Amino acid sequence: MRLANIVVGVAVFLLGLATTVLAWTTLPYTGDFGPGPGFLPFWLGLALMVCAVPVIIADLRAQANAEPLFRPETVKCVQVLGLIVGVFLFLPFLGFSVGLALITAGGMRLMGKHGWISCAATALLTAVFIHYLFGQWLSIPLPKGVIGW
Amino acid sequence: MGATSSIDLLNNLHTGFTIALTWQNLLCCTAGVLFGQMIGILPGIGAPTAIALLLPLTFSLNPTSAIIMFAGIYYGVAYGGTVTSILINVPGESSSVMTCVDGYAMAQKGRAGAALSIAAIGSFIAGTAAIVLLMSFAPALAAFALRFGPAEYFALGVMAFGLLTVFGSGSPFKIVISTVIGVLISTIGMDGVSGMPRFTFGIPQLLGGIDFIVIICGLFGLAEVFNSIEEPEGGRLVHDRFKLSEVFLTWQEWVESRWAILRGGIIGFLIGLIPAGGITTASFLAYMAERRASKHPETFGRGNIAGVAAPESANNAASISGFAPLLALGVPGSATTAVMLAGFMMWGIRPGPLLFTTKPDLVWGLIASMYVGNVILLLINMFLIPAFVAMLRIPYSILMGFIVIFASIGAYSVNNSMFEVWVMVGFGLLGYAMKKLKYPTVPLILGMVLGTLVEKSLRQALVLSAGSLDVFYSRPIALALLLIALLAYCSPLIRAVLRKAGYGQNVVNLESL
Repeated sequence: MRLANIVVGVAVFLLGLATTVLAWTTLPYTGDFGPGPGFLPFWLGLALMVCAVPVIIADLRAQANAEPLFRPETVKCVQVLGLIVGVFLFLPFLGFSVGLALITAGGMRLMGKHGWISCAATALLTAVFIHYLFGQWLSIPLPKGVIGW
Repeated sequence: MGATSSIDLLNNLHTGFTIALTWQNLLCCTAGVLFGQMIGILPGIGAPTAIALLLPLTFSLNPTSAIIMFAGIYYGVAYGGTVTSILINVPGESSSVMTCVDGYAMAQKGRAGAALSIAAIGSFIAGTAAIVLLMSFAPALAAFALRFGPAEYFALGVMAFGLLTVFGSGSPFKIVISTVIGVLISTIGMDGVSGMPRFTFGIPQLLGGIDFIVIICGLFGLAEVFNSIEEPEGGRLVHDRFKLSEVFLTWQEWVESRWAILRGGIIGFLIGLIPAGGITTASFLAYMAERRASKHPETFGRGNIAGVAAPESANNAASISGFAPLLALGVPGSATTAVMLAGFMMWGIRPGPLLFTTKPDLVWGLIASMYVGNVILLLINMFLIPAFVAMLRIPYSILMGFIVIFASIGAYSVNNSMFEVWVMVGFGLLGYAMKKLKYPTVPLILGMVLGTLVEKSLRQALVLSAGSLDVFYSRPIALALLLIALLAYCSPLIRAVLRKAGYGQNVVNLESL
């Protein structure tokens, strides 16, 4: 956890540096009648750099943290993230209703001890729920897939 | 003069009730408090997430009905978080953390019904009193805020950011970093003054900036899914079958709680008025004050009913008074009111001093609906608790899918584009990492919401003063607000010095948490 904090501290510092440089080089610091569009981002970048330094120093001085960055459950987080990203990539083909129903069913399989039948039934009900509530009743133009839902 | 303003107040309230009691608004209020109560009960979904996720459901409503529904969710969550605190020692909301201490102890002694009951009664009494005070206070604050110019608004924004370091927990530098990143995100897109694109990197979808709803759906909705998978909130349900007779209080319990309700309500109302004060701080301070005021402080943490009444009254009063800075100044005091502000803006309504004169129907309809909502919540909390307790048995593996559904559709419906859905996923991962590395997310949200106001005000103030900084210290209100901000930013230092000198060491019995 300590190393992760240091890495993030450095990333924040670099973000601040990039912001300051971008603001200074690509945006006018002053406008016709006062501060320009680069004024606030310039100072925000500096503030990020200034605040990142004590965070990095504090973590460098700190004892190695016993709290691990990753737990056994982190694998499940990655699996769920993979499921979400995978389904989103195929949403133009699957459609929103079916795609999100698959996420629900997939999540049930990954996270709980649910059988295939209950997962399939929940997916079906979820697809119907999304299609009628959001697509029909609330008229949100959700992308449709190959089955027209 | 006083009589006239009282009559005005009553007339406004009458107008408000005629709006709040239309069947549509009554339905929206009931739906809002029910959703809020249910979401408050479910660990892992907070009030800002709830409101952000439910935004798509309000697209077919008019602005007044939608805002009434959101307000219902907001204070409904404050009620709902209590149930899990008392029954399984897991706060449904951070504002219910203090309720765990004595509420769970009461449940273990077989008085769960009484604990739930006093929480509902305390919340109702304090909430209703807070609405009365809000009615008088908010218009007065709005009238005062009419004197505000750009310098004052800039100072107000800076003060709100500063107060985050006072009320937030953890590293003050991480709080500031989170706030600055929020403000930085608000600068993405076309600059409002010069029309120049900033940090868009040639991506046309970024020209309009990143919508607040997309960020909320990711930062609170999706991130909560990952965090809950990694750190499941355990807890054993100590009491899951209720008889109606169990929820009634004994006379002794009422006597022990009545002053706690009053004190908690006053503390909650005052803390809720402070930008960034927050309802969690209110409930903590109310608990500490009650413990200090008690003749038997040693009984706190062991099932003292006043230890439930005080924080619950405080968190409800604070959730109501939090509307005062939002409605009168346009400055949200918490992540939830920040989402409410986004909701207002979605319908083209800009809260602020003029809202009371330009949209009286909305303001007074909203305030009147709070009375109605509190009555509905009292009734459902007294008589429908068994039904809500049953919800605790829904497995998270199913809930998780529904959070993803609402977050995705919420993000998609902002511009009907997949770009926002991907941005939402990005912010979901950011929120997950922030929680893991103890960077608070609330400052980021407030930074993002207030960033535009702060930048616009700063630039306007400097234009008006021809670039001179005099404008910030020659105007008394701006100067006072900036001094408070300075004091707030120095507060971690002051606290450290006081702690070294042996002051400010609070001892709370959190063993039962």
